[in-house]
Amino acid sequence: MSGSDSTFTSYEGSSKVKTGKGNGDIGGRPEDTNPCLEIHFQTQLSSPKPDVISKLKKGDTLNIELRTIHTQVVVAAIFDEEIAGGIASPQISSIRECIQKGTKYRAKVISIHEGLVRIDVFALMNDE
Amino acid sequence: MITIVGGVYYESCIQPRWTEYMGSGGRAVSTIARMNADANLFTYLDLKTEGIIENKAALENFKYSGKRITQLGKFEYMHGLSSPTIEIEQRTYEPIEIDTDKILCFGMLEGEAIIKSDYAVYDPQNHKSPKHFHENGSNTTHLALILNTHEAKILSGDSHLEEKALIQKLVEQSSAEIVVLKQGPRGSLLFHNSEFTRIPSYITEKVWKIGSGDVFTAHFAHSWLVCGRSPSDSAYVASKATACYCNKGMLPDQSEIEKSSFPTARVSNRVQEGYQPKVYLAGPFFTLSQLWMIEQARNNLSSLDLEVFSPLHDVGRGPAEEVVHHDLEGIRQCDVVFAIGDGLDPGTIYEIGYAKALNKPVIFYAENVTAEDMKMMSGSSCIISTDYVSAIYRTVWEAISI
Repeated sequence: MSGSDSTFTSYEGSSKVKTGKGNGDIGGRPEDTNPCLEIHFQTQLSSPKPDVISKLKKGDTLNIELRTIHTQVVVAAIFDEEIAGGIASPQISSIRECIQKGTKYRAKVISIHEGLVRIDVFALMNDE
Repeated sequence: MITIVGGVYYESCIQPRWTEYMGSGGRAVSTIARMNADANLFTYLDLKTEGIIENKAALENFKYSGKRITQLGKFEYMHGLSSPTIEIEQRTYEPIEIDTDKILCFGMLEGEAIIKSDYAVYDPQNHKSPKHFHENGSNTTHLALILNTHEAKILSGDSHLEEKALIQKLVEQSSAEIVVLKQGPRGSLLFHNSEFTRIPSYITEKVWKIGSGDVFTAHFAHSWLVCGRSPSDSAYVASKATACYCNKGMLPDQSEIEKSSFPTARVSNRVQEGYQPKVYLAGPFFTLSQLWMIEQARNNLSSLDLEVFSPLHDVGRGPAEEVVHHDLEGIRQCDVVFAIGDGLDPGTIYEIGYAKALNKPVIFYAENVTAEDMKMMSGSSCIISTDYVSAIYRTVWEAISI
């Protein structure tokens, strides 16, 4: 099995942390603001784990954390110490970097329709 | 290990509200990984989406390789049966070339996949100009072609053939050993070893339509290529797995598929012999939004092969003495009624009561009506749905069973 040219890259088993670019960029802000605290968006829980999301209800809060699965560091939504799913958002790279710098994130469940769970992701202020 | 090649796209739906990074390739690799099989996706990806797919791959345990593109394609749906608005780069990228034993291959918008394999399941995934598997130089020893009726007609170049003749023509053109014609709520028709087998669909309370065709194809490929089941057993499993997916909007695992017990969608003899069921479309048409809704429902019911009687289109506006008796005759002649309930229009409520008095099945679609206001409908065996696509599918399942 082979890719056809040099632009074909495989990411299997790798973990990379990038500086955010584009939507959710965490660079280029005034020095007195922390862009990590400004990340706030709504998205859908991706890769949902049925056993965990079956326990979720509207208004529940999930922790957004980095977890290592095999050798890969992933951004995961945690409920009751279990992975409920991931986040399918272009902001994921920014969140990953911000968590590594110490910012904490939570996600509130906005709605649940069977397997479709919408969440509101936000940063905790330093004193929270 | 099964290799998958197919597109990853940003998909969104306005109602029900939903967003995901899926596409046929992305959904298929998630589907097969959910069955605990080793799956490796080849696709086109832009820089912004890499992190998302990387995260999904780790959470769901699949492998992937992405050929870099500038901008990921977008599919935006108004609802699950609407034609999506597609945003895609107006350029064609270099093909993805793969040499492997077993592959599931979807048609892509950014470029082509050129395959060499022993076994291939191919779903052209193109409503405008689907291509045959071998057309770009791909070759395989054993080919299963899976596609819907619309794609089959275009691919065969003959839109007038009945389903079996259509499949025979595709077999001649593509040298496929297996052809599965996906027919939505009517199930599918499988051809293998010179025999046709009708595969049923299953009746679910809810129908999450977006991606259901991908899920069917992915489960067929998993069952045939990984589990080694026969083509017909694979199609049965795929249909059941697709029902699980449609009912919850989530990819099922092995245990959920085994535990599921949905009723089979029955197709009456007269429908099997070519009868086209008639549906009466009841609903208000005074405002633009109501007219839009009528138009959507009429188009969606027609596209699922029902004959639609729409008072707006088939009788028109006019004074009571000119239109009402035509409307009521429409109800008497129909097999089933699809009623749009939001707003509780008096004319629509009358039509529902008239139809129930004639023992006609009524599907009552309303997103914003209280249980109290639906008491008469729920108490008289109307099928009630707050979800549009589910209501349309329930209508088809009722109509084809009579």
